Amino acid sequence: MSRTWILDTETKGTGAQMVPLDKVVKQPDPKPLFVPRKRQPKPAPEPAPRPPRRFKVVDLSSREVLVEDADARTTLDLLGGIRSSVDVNVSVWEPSTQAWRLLTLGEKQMLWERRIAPD
Amino acid sequence: MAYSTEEARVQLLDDLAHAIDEIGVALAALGAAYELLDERTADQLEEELFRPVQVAYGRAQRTHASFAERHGLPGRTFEPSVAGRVSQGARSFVDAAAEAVGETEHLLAEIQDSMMPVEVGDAPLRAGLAEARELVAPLPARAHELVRVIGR
Repeated sequence: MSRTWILDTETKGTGAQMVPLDKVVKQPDPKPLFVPRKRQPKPAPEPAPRPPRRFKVVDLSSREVLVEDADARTTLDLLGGIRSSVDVNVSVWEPSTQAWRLLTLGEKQMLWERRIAPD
Repeated sequence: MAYSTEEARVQLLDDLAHAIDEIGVALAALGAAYELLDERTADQLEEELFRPVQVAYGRAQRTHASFAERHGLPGRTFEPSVAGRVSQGARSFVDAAAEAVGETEHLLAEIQDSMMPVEVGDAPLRAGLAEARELVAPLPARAHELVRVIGR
């Protein structure tokens, strides 16, 4: 089989020269190129389960603490026996600040709408 | 003489109860307005109006109950007020609240000016009246400021 010759113009300085084609064409790499897989990001650790919310209810008129550290059910039961939401202040325990936080009007209203009416 | 002193004390309690009812009207109106406002304005209303009115409501009720108790007079239960129709709009509710707190201040001032707290009252009553009046006094102006924000 006849050899194919081509003009190699890549040569610097001395000018182009004729070379066999098989010397110019790159032979395929016998080893397949290894492309490492992208590392899958580690799944975020599961957040710690949120402890149940604890509430404190204070009578506005007498300043008496009606319940403290009560769960939602107990709080809703208590609110069921109160005439108006404006008669009490409700706070929630914030574990992050380790302090009672007064519920906003909107939050208190949400709780008030779910209060359990006495039998 | 003892009878007329008791009568005067009952009158004083009635007048104070009237002022407390007005605070209740303001609270109901502010609660209704809160529901109709955007979050930012609602927060402003809560901080600048609702909370102080609620504190004044508690203070005035405490003053009423403790004075009645100290003098062996019957106390009173204060029923929650109804705000009105939602169609009135937030601005109208805040206006109503401003009017109610203005009326409260006027009623408390009348009680103080009547000299009854001096003649038939006592020191804790006078302190309670003064504190409640101090709490509501700046609120009509704040309410009008808020109405301007709502109106924009």
